[in-house]
Amino acid sequence: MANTLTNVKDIKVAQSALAPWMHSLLPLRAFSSNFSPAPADRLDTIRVPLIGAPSASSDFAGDYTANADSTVSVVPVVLNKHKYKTVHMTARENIETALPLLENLVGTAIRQLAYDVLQDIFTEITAANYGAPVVPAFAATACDYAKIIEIREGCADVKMPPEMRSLILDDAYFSNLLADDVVSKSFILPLAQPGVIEARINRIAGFDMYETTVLPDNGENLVGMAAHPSGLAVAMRYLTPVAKYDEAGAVTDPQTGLTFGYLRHTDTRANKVYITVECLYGFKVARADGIRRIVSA
Amino acid sequence: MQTLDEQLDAALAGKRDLETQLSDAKGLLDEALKENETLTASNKELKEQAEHAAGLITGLETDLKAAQAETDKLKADAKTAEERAAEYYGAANPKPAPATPKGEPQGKPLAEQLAAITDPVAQTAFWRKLTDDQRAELLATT
Repeated sequence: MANTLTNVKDIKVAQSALAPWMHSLLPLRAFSSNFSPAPADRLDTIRVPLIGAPSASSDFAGDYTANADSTVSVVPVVLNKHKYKTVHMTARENIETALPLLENLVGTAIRQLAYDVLQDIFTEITAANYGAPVVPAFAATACDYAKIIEIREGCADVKMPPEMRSLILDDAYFSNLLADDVVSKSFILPLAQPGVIEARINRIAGFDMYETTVLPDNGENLVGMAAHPSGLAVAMRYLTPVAKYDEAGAVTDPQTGLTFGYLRHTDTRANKVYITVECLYGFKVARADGIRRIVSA
Repeated sequence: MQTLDEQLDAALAGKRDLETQLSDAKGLLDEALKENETLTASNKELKEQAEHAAGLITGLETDLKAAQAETDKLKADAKTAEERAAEYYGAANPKPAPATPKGEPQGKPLAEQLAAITDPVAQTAFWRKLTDDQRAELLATT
């Protein structure tokens, strides 16, 4: 079992950081995942079940185990990525600083860590892994509802299951979609109201929508993707520290399993208190037709 | 000038008048004596009644004092409706022992419960269930 934090102040700071961690990693819901606070070491392998990617059903011929597709529906993912972010303050500052300030400091760090993890995962979205773009390259100003329908058609071309589709879009493209009359002037309040007021679109044209500012260009003008969970497998675990720290433990969301490690350690020579948040993870391409790239002109 | 007989008759008449007056006076005296006896008896009876009444009054005064003392004691012990309500439902009474949704007593203090958790999933779940007051209490006790 993973370490747990014991100091109430650390628990409060860590639990406050859990919300921005989960929010920043929301786009990971577009992929198959196996997240858990279970302890693991770097380069351990985690089996990630692929969601919604079974082979065709078989006609019964006397044996239920024939044509079992476990090799297809589970992807082994190596935990070969380990990112961390450390913040520090002097011991005096640590004593005198109000708790919310420390929470904000760690909250900012965890948000940046989440963005970096997400950006790293997005580096896998390349032409080599997922083929040609779903639609011809287009500019942000051309991102409207009609274009989303065109992307949907592109997904249908490769028989991507219509359920559980997600659309992850660069911020500029997402913003342009917000201005489309179908969104901003929709008589469907759940679509128009969060779009106009919160700049948020929950779902459109059958896609769960995610806006991101951290999509890497990947040298291929990547600006988004239409994704099904079967396209990419992502795993996340808790890296148990070997050294002794003042405080160390896994912080996890019970529902999703999204986990980060929390460490507090002190440099007595510099009289500084450090708080490190870290993430052990890995990812692997699953089905090539599970993700359709969107590229800019 | 009156003769001796005449003077004697007059004297006898005077004597009779005086005897009559004496007799009347005796009658009056007897009546007065009788009335005096009656009044004395009445006075004695009244005195006895007064003494009896005084005894009763003294007894009643003692009873009254005892009753007043008891009333004061009951008043001192008695609580207002507000106090009784506060005792049953409010701040005057110690807070009821915390209980789980199943009604089982939450015996251990929050800090001990938190310290006993060794699973990160359970720790997050526990933390999320706490109210702001409980979190503040936890931070204050550590």
